[in-house]
Amino acid sequence: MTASMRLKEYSAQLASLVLIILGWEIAAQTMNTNALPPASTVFATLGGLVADGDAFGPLFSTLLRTVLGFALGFLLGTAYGIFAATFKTFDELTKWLIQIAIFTPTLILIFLFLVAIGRTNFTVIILIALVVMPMIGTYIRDALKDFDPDLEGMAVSYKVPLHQRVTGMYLPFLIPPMLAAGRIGFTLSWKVAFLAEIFGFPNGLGWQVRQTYQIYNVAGLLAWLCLFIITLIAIEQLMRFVERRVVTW
Amino acid sequence: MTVKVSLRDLHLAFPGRDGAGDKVIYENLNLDIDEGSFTVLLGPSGCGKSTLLNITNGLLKPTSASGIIVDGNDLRDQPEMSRKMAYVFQGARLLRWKTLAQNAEFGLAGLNVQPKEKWQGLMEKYFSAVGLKDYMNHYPHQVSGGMQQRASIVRAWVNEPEILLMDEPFSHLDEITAATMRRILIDLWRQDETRRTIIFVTHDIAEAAQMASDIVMLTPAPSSICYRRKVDMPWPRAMESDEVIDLEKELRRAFSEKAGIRF
Repeated sequence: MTASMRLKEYSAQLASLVLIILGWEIAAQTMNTNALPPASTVFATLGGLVADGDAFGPLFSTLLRTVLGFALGFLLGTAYGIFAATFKTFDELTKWLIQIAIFTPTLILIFLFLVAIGRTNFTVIILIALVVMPMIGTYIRDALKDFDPDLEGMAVSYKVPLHQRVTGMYLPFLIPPMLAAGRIGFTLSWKVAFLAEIFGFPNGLGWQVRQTYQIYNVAGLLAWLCLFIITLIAIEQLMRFVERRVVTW
Repeated sequence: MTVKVSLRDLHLAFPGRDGAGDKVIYENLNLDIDEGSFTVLLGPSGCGKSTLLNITNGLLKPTSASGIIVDGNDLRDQPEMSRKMAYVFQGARLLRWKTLAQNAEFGLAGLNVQPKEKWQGLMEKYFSAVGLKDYMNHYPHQVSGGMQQRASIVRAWVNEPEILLMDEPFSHLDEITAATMRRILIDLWRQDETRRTIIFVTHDIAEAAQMASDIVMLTPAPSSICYRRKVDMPWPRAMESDEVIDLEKELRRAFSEKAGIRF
């Protein structure tokens, strides 16, 4: 994609964001209700949180849990995907287990884990890993099933040793699906961390949202929510940037 | 003429599906390929032409054979004999995440061509020979199908193999591109003083007549050699020349009379 095309794309995306905020502002001004404070009020509250430095502690706590949980889930999921695509019996043995893990509502898992293991960082990290791992695993497994067996035949006929096949063939093939799965997985991790904090943690973004909700501070609630979304958008853009740099073909 | 490859008493059968009997591909097939020849295996689809290449390359084990001989050594006892060969497939089979040059390097690394310092020179030589020198650093999706297939020929040729196995390499191309590719291939083959041995599979009679120094005609499976003839005609051969057209007629007649195939 050329620089001008990218600029055009970014301009369109920015315009849509501006439209959303504008729509929000008009709706709030028209309805004039406490349930929907104007965008300007919410962003002013957010600005205050950032200026006072109050935003960074909860943001860092949630981010740390998310990153650690996601990293664990991503590693386990990738390993599972490769194993399941390589060994059919292993795939059959674990298929339903993985399906059950995917189908189980995340909220139920959060309750179960908080009750069973307790309110520790470890609980949230394991919880995130458990939710993300099956999603990443099935994504990688299915992507690997699309690997062209003709390429394998070519590599065998050219006597390419296994380590070169892994580094020169399988890994580059897997990079795009891994990056795509990573983007979705990180968003999911962020949401699980947020929910877990709402239900049982004395710190983090989720906890802040819970606190503001309990005193019916809707502007504060939305300010924390905006911080959550802005961080997520920033990370997503960073991951897309990395993807463009890595996947040059 | 020295025999480069010899397949002796080849028998190959695949188990039938749903209780059907075995599908026999070859029964006691014998084939000698002369060193430096451009041998074309000509036959209808499904007669086992490509399978012969796979057996010669050691990619497929026959049900039985008294010999799969390369340069006097049985490939089954000395699998390193297959390092003397490079394969060009029907499709280009390029890795899309590697440039054309990196794809050629993938083959060089696999066949462990030494010394490594000469790789760049080899690549430049053969990419130039097929008119792709300016595209060496392009990715496969950035070039046409014909150029991809040319790059796959370079991937084989840079190894300077003694034997080239070519499995209908131009069958996916349009006729104009295929005609150019045939000319490039013949030029490449003729430019070396000691000509490489090429085993070229096709079902295209005109292609066989235009390129071969030796034509081996196979019947439908269970496959046997029903006709064989050397072609002593200089290259380049024009498709519309009387000699090539006469040879085509002869091959069609042989197909009808020896393989029972009507045109």
